Amino acid sequence: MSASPGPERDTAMTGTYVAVIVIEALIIVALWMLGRMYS
Amino acid sequence: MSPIDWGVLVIYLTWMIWDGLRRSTNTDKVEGYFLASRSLPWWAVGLSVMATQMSAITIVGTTGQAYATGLRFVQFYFGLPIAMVILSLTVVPFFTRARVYTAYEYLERRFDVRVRTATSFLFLIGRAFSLGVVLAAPAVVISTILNWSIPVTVLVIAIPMVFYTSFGGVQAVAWTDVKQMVVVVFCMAASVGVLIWGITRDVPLSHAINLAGATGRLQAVDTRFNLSETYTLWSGLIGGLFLSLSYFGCDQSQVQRYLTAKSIDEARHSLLMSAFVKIPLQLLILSTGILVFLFYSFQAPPMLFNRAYDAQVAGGPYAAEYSSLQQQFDREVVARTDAGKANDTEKFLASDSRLRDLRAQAADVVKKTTGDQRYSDVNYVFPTFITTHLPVGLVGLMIAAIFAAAMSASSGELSALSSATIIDFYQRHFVRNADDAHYLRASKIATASWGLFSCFVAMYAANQGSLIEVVNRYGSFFYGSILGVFILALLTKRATATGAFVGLIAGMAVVLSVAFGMPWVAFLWHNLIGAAVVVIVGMAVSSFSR
Repeated sequence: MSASPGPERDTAMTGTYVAVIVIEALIIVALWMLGRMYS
Repeated sequence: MSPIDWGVLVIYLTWMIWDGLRRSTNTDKVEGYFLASRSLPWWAVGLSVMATQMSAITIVGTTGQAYATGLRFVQFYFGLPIAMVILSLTVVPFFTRARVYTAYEYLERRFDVRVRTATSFLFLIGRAFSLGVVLAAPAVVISTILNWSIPVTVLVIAIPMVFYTSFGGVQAVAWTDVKQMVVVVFCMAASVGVLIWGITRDVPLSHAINLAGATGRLQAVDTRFNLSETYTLWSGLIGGLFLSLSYFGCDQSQVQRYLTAKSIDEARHSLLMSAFVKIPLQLLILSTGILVFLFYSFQAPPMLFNRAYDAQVAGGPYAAEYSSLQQQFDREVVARTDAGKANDTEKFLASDSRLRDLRAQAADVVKKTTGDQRYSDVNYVFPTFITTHLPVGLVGLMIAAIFAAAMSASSGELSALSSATIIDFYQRHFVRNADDAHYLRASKIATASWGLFSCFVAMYAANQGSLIEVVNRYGSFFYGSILGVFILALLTKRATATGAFVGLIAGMAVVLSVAFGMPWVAFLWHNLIGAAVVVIVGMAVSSFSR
């Protein structure tokens, strides 16, 4: 994908997608650990 | 509510509607009216996407759910961030480049008019009834808080909402959504502050969190694979993924939001904003519910939060039984408070369990007296806290936020109903070559007509619990099937129009059979089943119908 001006502007966002997945994984692990702490 | 709170409520709602209309420009063109001339910034679109899902019932219902069961509902959203990434890579650039007005418009280009009309029709039927429920559910709660009748409450929510949506189009919807999200987050954060202040007057916060943990309310993740359990890690990740893919990728009420963005990048950013923020925001709302539980562990709570039938119960045949339960409840509340302050977890849990039993018995008395078998007080927990413990001014703002949430969740759906009616039906099948002024008039009439229809549904649904259940079930069976059609359209070259059409009907039939024949299968799985059947049957039929 290449950047172009105007409404067709379409840039690669691989880093952002990876960040979304990593942050979600961290949140799920943190919530799981919170539950374990009080089980 | 005090006069100051009423003042805050009226001023906020008036300003929200006035500013929404003021910011609506270019609404004399169909593209301006339905798609904001594809000019909105990503953050406004992103907040609007989140506001459309944040109905009033999310604020009062989710906090009430957390009060009773804790954080586990957050699992419902685990599939959402993954869905947003997939949609950003696939559907967003596709729809934006196709310059479509509705998601279903594309299906005619890929398949035929039959598939477009069938999916758009399914959307209209499902959304029209769900819009009625989206209005009815908060109206029931608000009517009890403010002591208004349900028809009056429905009209107070619907008339301004239909007014600004009809005249301002999608821009008025988006800008009112932006304000609503800011106010909701502010009010929730302020409530958390008040709750923590209230709790820490009696015990240290760490001590309170320990009590919440002991009651199981901090168990957010359930790793068991159990099809009959509604909220587990797997139903959230897999069922929730398919639900989110369908809702954000194929539902006009969401697609229309990101079609208003300036560019493909801005549309992507708007969805990725939800991917980052949605789970933390839900955790904030759920944590508020847990804090309300802790707050009422040290301040005497009412036995039942829904007081709509108080007079009827007091004058009914079970009044003595209810009064006895109230006395036992009051004694047990003192015992639980003492145990909590002494950090005696065992006694606290024993008292809490007895209080749950007493609450259940009291609810049974209400059901026996009134005949209302669906009586529940889950949605009344947070409003009770708001109206009795928040400072003057903040009460008005919080009630305004609940009103605004009811309006913004409905206005997005209303605008989407209008766009699908005009673009997929009126323009496509009835009047093909009229000018913008004609379609704009028709759009405003369609918006007002759907608004009127939803008011009637809301007034009926408010007194018909079973109808609400039917509508929810219906929503979950058509989402997966529509997603299946879009998977065939976007990801395969071999699928034919007949394959997609037959697949859609097969998907709906199978999900309907599962929903009614195997009610133990949790509804989130219906989305996966529907999508899978449509793709499998669609591909099989396509191979014969080439």
